[in-house]
Amino acid sequence: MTRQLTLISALALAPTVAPAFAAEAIRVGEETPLLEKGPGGAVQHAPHVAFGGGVYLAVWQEGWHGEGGRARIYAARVTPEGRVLDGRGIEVAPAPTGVQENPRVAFAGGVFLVVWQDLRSGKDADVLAARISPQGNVLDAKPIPIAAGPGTQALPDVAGDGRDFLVVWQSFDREAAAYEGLAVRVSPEGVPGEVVVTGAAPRPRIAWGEDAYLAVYGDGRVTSVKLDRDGRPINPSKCGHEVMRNVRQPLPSVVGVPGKGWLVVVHRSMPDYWGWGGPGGMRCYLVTPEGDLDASMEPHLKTDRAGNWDRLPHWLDAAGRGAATWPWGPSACAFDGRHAVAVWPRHHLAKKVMLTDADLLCARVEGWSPVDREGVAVAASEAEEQMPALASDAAGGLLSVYEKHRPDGGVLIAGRTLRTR
Amino acid sequence: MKQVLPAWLFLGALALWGSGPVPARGQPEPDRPPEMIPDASAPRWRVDRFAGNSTAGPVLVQGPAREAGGMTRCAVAPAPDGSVFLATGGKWAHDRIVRVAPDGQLRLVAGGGSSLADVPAPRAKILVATRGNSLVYSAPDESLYFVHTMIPAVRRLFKKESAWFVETAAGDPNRAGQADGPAREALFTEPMSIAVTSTGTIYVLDGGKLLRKIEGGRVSTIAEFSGGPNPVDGPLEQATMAITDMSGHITVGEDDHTLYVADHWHFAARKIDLEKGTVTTVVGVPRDHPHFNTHADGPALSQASFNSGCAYVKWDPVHQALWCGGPDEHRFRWLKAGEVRTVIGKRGNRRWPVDALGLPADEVSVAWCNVAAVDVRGGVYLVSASHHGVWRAYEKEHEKKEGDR
Repeated sequence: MTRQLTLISALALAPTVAPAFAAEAIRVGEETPLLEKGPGGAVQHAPHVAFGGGVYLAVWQEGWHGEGGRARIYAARVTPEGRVLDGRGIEVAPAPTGVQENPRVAFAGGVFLVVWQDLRSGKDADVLAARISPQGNVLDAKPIPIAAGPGTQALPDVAGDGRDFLVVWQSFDREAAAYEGLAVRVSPEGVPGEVVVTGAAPRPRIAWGEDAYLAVYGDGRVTSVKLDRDGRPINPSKCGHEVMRNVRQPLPSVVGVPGKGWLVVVHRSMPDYWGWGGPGGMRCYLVTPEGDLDASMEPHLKTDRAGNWDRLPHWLDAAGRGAATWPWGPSACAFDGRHAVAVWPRHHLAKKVMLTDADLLCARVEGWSPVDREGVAVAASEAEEQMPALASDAAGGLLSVYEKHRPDGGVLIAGRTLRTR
Repeated sequence: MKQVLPAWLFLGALALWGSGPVPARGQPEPDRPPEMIPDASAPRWRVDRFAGNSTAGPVLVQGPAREAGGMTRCAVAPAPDGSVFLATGGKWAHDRIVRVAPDGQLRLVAGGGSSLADVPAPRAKILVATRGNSLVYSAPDESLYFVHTMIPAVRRLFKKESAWFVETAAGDPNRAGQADGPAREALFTEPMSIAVTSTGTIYVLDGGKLLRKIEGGRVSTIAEFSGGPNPVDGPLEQATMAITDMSGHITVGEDDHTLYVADHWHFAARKIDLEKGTVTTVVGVPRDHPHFNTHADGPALSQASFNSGCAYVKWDPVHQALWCGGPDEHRFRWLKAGEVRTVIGKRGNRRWPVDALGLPADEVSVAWCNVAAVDVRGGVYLVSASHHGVWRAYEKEHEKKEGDR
C-alpha cells in the first residue's frame, strides 16, 4: 500500500462535461478483506457484488478451482459503511465433490440470487443458483438447477428487474458443436421459468434498464441484444447489434442508466511491439433505450476504429506510444443514482508489451464521457489488484470488491467503499 | 528486449534488402516450380479439434476439452500417459497451465497466483512464452519445465501426492545474469525456448545467443553464438545465429545429441550436433536465391524457404521428420529425406470447419500457425494465432481409432 492512494480525484474535466460536476469527488474507503482465514487457504477468486435490503452481498470462489481443488462459492454481507457482517463467510452450496466457479449475484423481490457454474458431476459444468436473504440466510438447502443438461453450461450472469431475476449463460450444443446463449427468468421464490434462446454468447453480461434487459457478449467484437423480462430478444432485427468490433478478449461490463439506456465499458487493444493494434484504452459506449449506439458517439467511433493514438472523449483511460501503463481487462460498472460509475484495471508495462501489476481506477461517467478524466485510484498498491466488481445503493454509495494478490502468492478478495456525493 | 528488438529490425531489413527482386505473388516465373508440393502422405492425414471451441469465448471453462473456452495460441507438452498439458491464456505470455486427461477432460493445474517462489501451484505466478517451444514434459522426473523471457529461470511443475507444485529448477526468477554452476545459483538472461532429452537433460536457448545445458543439477553454457547477416556453419564457436524471442527456437532431434534451431532472421533451420560440436544448415536458401523469403517447398537447401524467417522447428520422432515453418504460413510442412513438403493445409482456403473431427488435412487453413508438439503416437498438435484452440493431426495408418476419444 505504498503507492499513492488517491482519495479525492484531481479533476481534469473534458470540455463536454458540465461544470456542475467539477466540485464533486469520489471518496474511497479503507481496504477490507472479506474473509482472511477462509477454508480455501488464501486462494480466492472471481468476486462479484450486489446491493439490496440495506446491505451489499459479495460472492466469490473460495479455494482452488483446478485439478484436485475444492473451490466453493462463498458470500459475505457488507454494510454501506464497509463493515463485513459475516466474518466467517457463508458457504452458499456445500457439496461433496467438484468445484464451483464464476459466481454472480443480483437482488430483486427482497432476496439475492447467486448463480455459478458447478463441476460436481466431474464431467461438464452446470449452472446452479441459490437465494440468500438480506439477513444472510441461504434460502435453498439444495441449489436451484438452472441448467444441468448434457454439455457445458457456463459463465452465467444474473440481473434483477425489481420483481424477478433473469439468468443468462452459454450452453454447449453437442450436436452443433457450438455454444449458444440461453436465459431463464427466476422468481424471488426460486422458481425458474421457461428457458429461451437469447443469441447472447459467449460470456454474456446483463443489466436491467427501465423496461428491458441488455445483454452484451462476444469474442473479437462486442455485441448487444435487448431482452424482455423472460429473456426473449425484443427486436429480432437488432439481435447481435454490434457495439464494437476488433476487440481481443473483450470482457465487457454493462449497467443500466435510467433515461439514457445502458453504459458498456470495454478495453481496446493489447500492447504490441510494432504498434499495429493502436493505443490502449478503456472505453465507454452508450446504448440507447432503443438498443442502438448513441448517435453522438459516431465521429469518435470512426476515429477510434482508424487507430487514432490520441485519447478520445469516450475513453476512461488511455495508453499511447511508449506508455508505462496500459488499461486492459475485465471492468465493472454500477449506477450511483446520478451517474454510471466504472472501475477498471490499469497495468504497468514491462518489456514494452507485458502487462504486470494491475491497479484499479474508477470514474463517474456522464452519458458516454468520463467525468473524472484522470481516474481515481481504488486500489493501487504494489500488489496486483484485478477482477473488479461494483455495486451501488443508488444514493451515492458503492462497494468495489476485487482480487488482491499477496506476496506469498495467495489471493484474497478485498473491498472498498466509494462515495460519489 | 530493448537490446533485441533493434537487432531483429536490422536483420530483417537486411534480409529483405539483400533478397533481390522477388516475383509478385500469383505470377511465378515460367520455369519456377510450385511453392507448395504436397507430401506423399498428405492424403492420409486427418485433423481433429483437440481442445477449445471456436464459439467458447475468451474465458477458461473446464470440462470436456473440446468445449473449453480461453484456449489462445497454446504451448503444448504431451506426456507419455496420454495426458497433454497446455499453457494458455495470453497474447505475449500464457498465465496458466491446464491438463487434458486421456479421457478428454480439461482441468487447470497451475496459474492464478502471483508468487515466483517454490509454492503450491494455485499460488504460483505462471509465465510461459506463447510462440516458442516453451513448455516441455520430462519423462525421467515426470515434470513439466517452462520458460518465458520475463523470468530469468527455468521453472518446474510437478505433482506430489495429489497436488501440483511449482519450483525453480535453475536460475533465479528475480535476478538476471549469465552464470554457470549449481542450478539454483546459476543465472539466466532471457530464457526463450527449452528442450529436454530422453534422459532428462535440458537445453535452454537463453537470450537468443546462449545455448545452456542443465544436467546433473548444474548449468553450463554450451555455446555463445555470434550474430551476422548470414548463417555460418561449422564449429559451435564460429557459427552464427539470428534468433528472435518470437520463434519456436529449439527442439531435440533424432537422438539426444542433436538439436534443431529455428534461426529466424537467417531464414533457416539449423542442426546442432552436440557430439561433434558443429552447426549445419538443413533448410534455407541464400539471400540471392529467387525463393528466398517465400514459403517454397522443395529440396531443402536449393529451393525450400520460409516467408518472414524460420519461426519454428519441431522434431517428429514417429515420422522421423522435422516440422518447420515461417511465422505467417497457412500450412504445415516438414523436412524429410532432404525435401521440404506440405503435409497439412493449403493456401487460399480461409473457410474451414474449425471445430470438426476427422477433417482431411488439405481442408485446413489457419494463419500464423505452428506445430506446437508431437506425441508418442505421432499425433501432431497444431496452433494458430487466428483461431482459438488446439488441433491434433494424425496419419490414419498410425492411428486407426483416433476420433473415438
